[in-house]
Amino acid sequence: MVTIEIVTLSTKDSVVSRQSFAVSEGTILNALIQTNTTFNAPCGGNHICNKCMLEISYNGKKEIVQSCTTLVKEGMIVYIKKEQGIAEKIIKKPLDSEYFMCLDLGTTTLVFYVVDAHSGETVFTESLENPQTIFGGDVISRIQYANTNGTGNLFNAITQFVENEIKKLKDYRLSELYVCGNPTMLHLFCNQNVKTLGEFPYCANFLEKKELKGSDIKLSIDKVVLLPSFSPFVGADLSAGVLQTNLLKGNNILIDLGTNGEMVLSYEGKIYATSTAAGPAFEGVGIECGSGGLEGAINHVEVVNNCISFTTVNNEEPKSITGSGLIDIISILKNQNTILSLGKLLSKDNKYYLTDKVYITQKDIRSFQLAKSAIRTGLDILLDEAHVKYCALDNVYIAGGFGHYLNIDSAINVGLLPLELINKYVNVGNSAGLGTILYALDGTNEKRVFLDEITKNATIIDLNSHKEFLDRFTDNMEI
Amino acid sequence: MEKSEEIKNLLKAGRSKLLIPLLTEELEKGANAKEILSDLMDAMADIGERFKRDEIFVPEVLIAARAMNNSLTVLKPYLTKEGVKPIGTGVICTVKGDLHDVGKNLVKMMIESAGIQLIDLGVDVDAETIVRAIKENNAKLVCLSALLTTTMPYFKDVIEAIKAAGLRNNVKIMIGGAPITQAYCDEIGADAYTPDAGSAAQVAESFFKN
Repeated sequence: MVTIEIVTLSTKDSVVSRQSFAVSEGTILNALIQTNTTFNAPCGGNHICNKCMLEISYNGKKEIVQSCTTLVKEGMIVYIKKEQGIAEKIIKKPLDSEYFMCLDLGTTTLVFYVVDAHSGETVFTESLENPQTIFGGDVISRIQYANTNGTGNLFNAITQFVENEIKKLKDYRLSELYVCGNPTMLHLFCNQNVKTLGEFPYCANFLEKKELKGSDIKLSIDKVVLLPSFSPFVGADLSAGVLQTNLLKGNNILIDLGTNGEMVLSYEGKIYATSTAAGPAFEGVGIECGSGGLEGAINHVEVVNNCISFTTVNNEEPKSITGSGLIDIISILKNQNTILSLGKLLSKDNKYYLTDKVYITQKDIRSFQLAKSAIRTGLDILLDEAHVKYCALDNVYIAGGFGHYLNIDSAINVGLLPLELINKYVNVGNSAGLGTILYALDGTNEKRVFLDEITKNATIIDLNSHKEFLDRFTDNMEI
Repeated sequence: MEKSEEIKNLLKAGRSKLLIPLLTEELEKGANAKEILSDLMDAMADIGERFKRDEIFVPEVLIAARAMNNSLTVLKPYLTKEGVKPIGTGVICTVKGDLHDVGKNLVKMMIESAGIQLIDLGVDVDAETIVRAIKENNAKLVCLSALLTTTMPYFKDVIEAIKAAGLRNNVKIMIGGAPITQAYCDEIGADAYTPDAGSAAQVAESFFKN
């Protein structure tokens, strides 16, 4: 055992907390796991992503190190930056009413809602980082962690976190909790094995709606309901999105531009779904200066009077670039012929600088090409398999936080989305959370029965086995 | 010599429609198929090198590789007549649990362009099948691919099965895929990790030259 000190810093570098811990010998990342510290390790300690850098101080010397490869030493001080973006909003204080909690259990972010069961009003919202991010940023690295270490740590991390939230909100007298999320998140939420979700033929223990007693999963709430999923990779967050967007009313498609690009198509009353391995480029992983929507991240870039101008999250000094910023800048560089159609960047040192600190590299463009082609190819094949043309669609709903900042013109210009969809784009924000609220408030049970049915009866398109996948995937890499 | 440059340039640009008639004409005129093959292999090596340096990407590599494939079909009867054989044989696949074969297919084309015959076992392949294929084809090279951190641990099972079959000293084992690192390669005792298809071809070739 060695003793280390963990110091939490605010974004302005002031000390928020400072505490000593005895931890077993091993990497800093392991020590952070042992001490239940909230920290982001996108690749789950596999030494690939280079995003788990942090500052340490040892023997009076400060340095920036990679937490998954650096070993803890006696007396080491580890500095953790508390990221902003944590938004808590109390809309209405508790009244003498009954309240439900709804949770959008995202791989990266958790969004909590408290709704008044009688009036239907949302009285409280809060979004927080998923405490499991220390075990890896994406679903696959969490499964890998569970395969090696069991599901216990992942289960405890999430349920203790939710229990704390329930306790914090006890004045609302919460009676029921409704949860949407991808099947891996839902499995881990009830401590179920996820091994078969991580490898072909990808089997889930359950996809249907699940009702539990809170005590079954160590929560002090009477009833817990997990919404139904379409397939092991098209989860209950999409199901909730189908409710929120009223997807079946017309010929519509709902797309979640995440690591696993999930899509649900409604055409003439039939439902088709697929998912495509886009990778985490749009979330900033694998992009040298990339990040999610953190403070100071460039989220929108445009050309004004022949000059490149951009905006950042909270208008802070630019520190990184988000997926939407990346799409914008690639679109602009394409128009300037600085990026050629097959992705070659004509710029000194294979880098293009937006500021002296934030730049994109040739390699970033390659990662982007893979991600955008995976999404576009998935979309093309899904519509083909359903025998639907783009012009036959009424609306394209883009879900997720990323959808909020996506510039549709840029997305079309770089080939992420087809031109035919230009006037059909609707940003639906957190459709998963809002859909879950609709589900929770559904007194007549009509929506619940509907969702049970469509998730069971949807046609799932498997891209991996599609014979044209490689050819189309290659063609769609063109920018 | 003039033609040699033309052949190389057409291949690099993936211009099958111009390349194939030119090759046919040259071969009918009595050109040496082995020399043409050597030109084509040089051109592919250059493609691999530029891919490695991120100057070109999957689409360019793929069209060049397709042109290479077409050229080999034309060359094959002449090569057989001249007694030219592949420099060696290997097997390639994505391992059990993994269906993602874009990378594997790219690596396969590049390695074949280096003059190595590869038996493609496809996707989701178990250790037993790999061991059997090594025996049946007297393969000296095994190329394993995995895209997911959840499927890469199976590499280890394959290596153990190859050891158990007494074949470990007969084959070189190469691994690749997005989550793979040199450290992981060392940990499981594979012979080589390559980060891209160009380097994979170079390393595979080096195994047969030594």
